[in-house]
Amino acid sequence: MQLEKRGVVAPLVVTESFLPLVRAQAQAQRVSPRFVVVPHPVGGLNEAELASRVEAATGELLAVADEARGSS
Amino acid sequence: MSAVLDLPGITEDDWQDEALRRGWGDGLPLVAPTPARVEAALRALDGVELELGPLPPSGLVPTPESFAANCVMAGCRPADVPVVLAAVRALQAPEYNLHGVLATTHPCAPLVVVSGPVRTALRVNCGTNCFGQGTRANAVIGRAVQLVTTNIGGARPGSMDRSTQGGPAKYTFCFGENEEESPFEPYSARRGFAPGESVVTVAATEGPHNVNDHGGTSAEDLLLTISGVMAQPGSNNVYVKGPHFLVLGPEHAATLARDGWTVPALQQRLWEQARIPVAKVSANNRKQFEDWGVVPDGDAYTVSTGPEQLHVLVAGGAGKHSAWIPSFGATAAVSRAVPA
Amino acid sequence: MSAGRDAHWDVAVVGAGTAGLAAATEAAGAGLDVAVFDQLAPGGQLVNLTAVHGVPGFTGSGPDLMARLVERAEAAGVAVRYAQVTRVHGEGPLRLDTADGEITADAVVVATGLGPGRLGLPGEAELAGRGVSTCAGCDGPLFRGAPVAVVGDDEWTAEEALELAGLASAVTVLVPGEPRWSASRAARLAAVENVEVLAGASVVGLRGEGVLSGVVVRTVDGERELTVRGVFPYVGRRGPEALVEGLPVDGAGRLVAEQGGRTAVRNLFVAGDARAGAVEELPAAEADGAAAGRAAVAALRSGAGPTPAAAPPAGGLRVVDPTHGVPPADEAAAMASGGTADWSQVALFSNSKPNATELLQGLGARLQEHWALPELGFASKPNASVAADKDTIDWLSERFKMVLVAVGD
Repeated sequence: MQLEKRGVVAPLVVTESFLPLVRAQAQAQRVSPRFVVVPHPVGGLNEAELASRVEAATGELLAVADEARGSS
Repeated sequence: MSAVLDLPGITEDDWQDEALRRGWGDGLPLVAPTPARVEAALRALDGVELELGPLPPSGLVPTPESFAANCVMAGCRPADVPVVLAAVRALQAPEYNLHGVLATTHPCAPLVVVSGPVRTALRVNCGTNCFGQGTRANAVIGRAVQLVTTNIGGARPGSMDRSTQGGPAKYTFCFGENEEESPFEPYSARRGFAPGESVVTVAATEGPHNVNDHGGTSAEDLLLTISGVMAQPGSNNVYVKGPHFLVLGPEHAATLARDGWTVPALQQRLWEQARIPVAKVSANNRKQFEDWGVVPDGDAYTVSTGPEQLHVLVAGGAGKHSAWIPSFGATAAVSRAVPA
Repeated sequence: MSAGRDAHWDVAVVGAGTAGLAAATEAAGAGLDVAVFDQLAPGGQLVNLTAVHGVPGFTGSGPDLMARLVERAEAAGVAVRYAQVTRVHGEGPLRLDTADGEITADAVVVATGLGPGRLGLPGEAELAGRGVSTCAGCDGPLFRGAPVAVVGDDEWTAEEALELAGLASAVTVLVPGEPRWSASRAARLAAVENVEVLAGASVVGLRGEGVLSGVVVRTVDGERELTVRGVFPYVGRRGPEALVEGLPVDGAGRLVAEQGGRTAVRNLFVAGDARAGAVEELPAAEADGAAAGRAAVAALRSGAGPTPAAAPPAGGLRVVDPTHGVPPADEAAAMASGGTADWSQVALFSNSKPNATELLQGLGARLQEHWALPELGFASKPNASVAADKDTIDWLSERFKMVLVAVGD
């Protein structure tokens, strides 16, 4: 969030369970971050499970990234 | 947002349900913070500035009224309020890492240790059952600290407070040092405060782990048991490190002192003796420690980063029990004087 | 989510849009334990609305209005929960399947709104995000200075077309039949130079390799190709037809209900755009939600469900708000970008939790491929429990245009 305050596009990769927490932190810091949300958990996953997390989040990431790039 | 709220149709009788419904509590009954009660609590802070900064995660700075409202809800008497204030000031020291403490999955609670004359004035329990139930000051001071961070900081369980299991110490974890029965210099003096000064020390810790040694008759006997309790492969002290506490029961303390042990000597000896054999840690967990930059010292892991991280003090009553209190790790023990 | 405490609610509202928040606020205001569930942020369609029209006494953006509605709901005691509700079972006590496990409720209000628009054409899925979009507020800036088409006939279509008119070079609104939007929106559309409304026009094909280059439009005069970089379909939007078993739905998959949003399932209500026959306007959604909230309260109070606590007596308690606080006085002024980085400078920043770095690298690789980046920068926090150090932040903000950050897991 400090990065966004300095003008860097900084999408936050966050799991669903932590989204409310991160959102509250963002509100407190008065920033509106871009999110890439993945299912919880991430820790403890094996390689295949991790790959499916990457797969599932790619669309959202690219959309967020393209949008940021397009509007700058 | 107004500082005073009208709760239409709510009376003292259904206040409990209303407060819990609004997410204001810890599950136990709360005293309604009516303006009159809050005003009475604030009188204990006459002429004292809060000197508080923003509380994470909300980023809001407590006002005297909202701070006092939480003290009232916790059941504080006006005289307890300055002690709560000292504790919350201490939590806000950057090295305490309040944000990390509140949001972690670790079960840590804000440990509040009270030293100095305020213990007697408020009848803080420093003796028998000092970690337990039955004393108002211990119950309400620790509880008020937790309510301030929950309500003003917004670190509510389940949403912002992400503790996997939590711990009973999160209701309240406050006790006084048994300076009267301690063979050592008072803890607050060793923290650099003047004699006669009332001091609060906070740290983010687990609840106490018992050290039962009824058979030992010498310091060596006790040190073997204590170091064994401290050498836990599953505590944050192994790889996140941080300040941990050895709270000696007066009888164990007397035995150690009789055999010539001082606090620095105890710290040094336990640093050397409380070691976690590498064989007690799985290969995968060793890799996780390594990712944190923690490698074994020879064939064992150390508990925290050095002898000075062990805080030694005396509390409790008669009996052959002491306690080890492990740390959250990414935090520091912080002491503040109680405002007069 | 902690299953224990959150396992049962007096009223569970599915969907935190205008109608859902209104229903939840109404029920919580009556003293019930209420949670509103949404997959992501609260706000429903509002989140995607840059400027709000048609709400008396309000000027501002959709998110502003959403923030006001959420604040009002939370002040009434509504718990906002971020979990997708995948199914509501109406047999016996109402049970809801969520991404975090099953919960139960004495009453349920379904306020999911409608799904995204769909043309139902070959290639549509492949071109999603590459020209096909359903959110002008989100994707509009991608089409700055380019021609776009909007497909639909309702208020939402008109509103999105107006939004795009401020960005795109030309906006063609393709209305399959006749417009259904209000006279006031028609007047606003007519007043904008670069908007053209074509009635009796449907989209029958998409053109483009990898990215959209045009659409095939069929009118009474035959078919022709319209060159556009973006198409925003608002046709083919479906209600939550599969959410509740055994409920009658209309042709658009919206749940059929009677007065107050009451459905054929006991203590299950529907509000807002998810209801058959709903008027797709903000004030209507709000009124609809409030009515469903009141109907839920009445149903539970009348003995159709477990008896709630007796209505609070008159009078009231005055308390000092224990959550009150003030923003810090010296909020640091936002710092300008110190860097001169361009879009080829992208980095990953890990919080060092187990697997976080691996996840970032996986995502980073996809982005690297997508933008054909030569390389990615990398930094990490020393461990997950401490804040990022200033030097790292300095380095990242000077050297990189974009940093993908792992924050919460």
